[in-house]
Amino acid sequence: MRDAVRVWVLPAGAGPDELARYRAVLDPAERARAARLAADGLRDRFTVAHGALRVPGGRATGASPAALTWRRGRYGKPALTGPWRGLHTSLSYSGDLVAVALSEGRPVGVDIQHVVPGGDPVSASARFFHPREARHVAAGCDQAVRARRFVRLWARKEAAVKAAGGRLWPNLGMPVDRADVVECADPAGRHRLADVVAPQGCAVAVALAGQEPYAVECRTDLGDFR
Amino acid sequence: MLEHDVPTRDQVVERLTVLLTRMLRPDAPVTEQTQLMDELGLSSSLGLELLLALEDELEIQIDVEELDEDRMATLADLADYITANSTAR
Repeated sequence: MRDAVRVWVLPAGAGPDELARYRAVLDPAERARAARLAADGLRDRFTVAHGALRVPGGRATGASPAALTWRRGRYGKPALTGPWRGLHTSLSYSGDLVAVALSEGRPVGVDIQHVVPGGDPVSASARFFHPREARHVAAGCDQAVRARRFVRLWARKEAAVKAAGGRLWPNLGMPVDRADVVECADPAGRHRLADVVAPQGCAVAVALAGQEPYAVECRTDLGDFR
Repeated sequence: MLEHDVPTRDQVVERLTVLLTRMLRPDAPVTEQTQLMDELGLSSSLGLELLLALEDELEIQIDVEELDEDRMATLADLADYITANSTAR
């Protein structure tokens, strides 16, 4: 059977009741990290993102969402521990949206990026991306197109690096523009990318380890998790 | 300092403080101990903008081959990395 990855793209903001439900499934370390975030918006986004990862994670494993535990790998990629190791997870947030992804059996990376007005996508891609990608960004007919091209490539790179458990910065030169199967340099390995349908003004990409095709199921709500 | 010398760590700290304050408009003052991701919410894409701006302002090129999240946990960590991994343009 074809592999599948499930992706949720959710609003980062939530009302007090929903926030309380997300907060209730965080572990003490996550609550402490949330408390350190100075701005309300950042704190709420962190709470929603980590809570939103735990809710479907609990459903997929049959465990209580609050009981799930992750261990960080060499470059910080969190991996579920103990009996839940077969389930792979990833999360990302940007602006007012969060994205979480679950995959059975294959390491997963998801990334969401908003188009940020005022940035300089041409300079950024010339400095950090593969030369062909930098030319593609620079050839956009106006600033909006150049910015969209840049964030799509950035999301694809970051998703692949997250699936690989590598470091983003040394892998920014990895070309991701022409093919969905890409080669991460460190740690070396092939990963298959997919663009995920995203709200206007942002790009979402997901990657699974290995080059075999997979289905992407994208949802925009978690359902009832009281 | 000669015009094209690599900046000192103090100069890197000062520019990082200014740039982070301008970009992220934090409620509290930015210090060397500020946790960039956990307190300011610095994302990878904002980190890229930060490095580009720093390279332009200090006329340096930062080698990102060894850069990872642990090396940009606090402003002090990032300043240490940049001071040790930059060349003058």
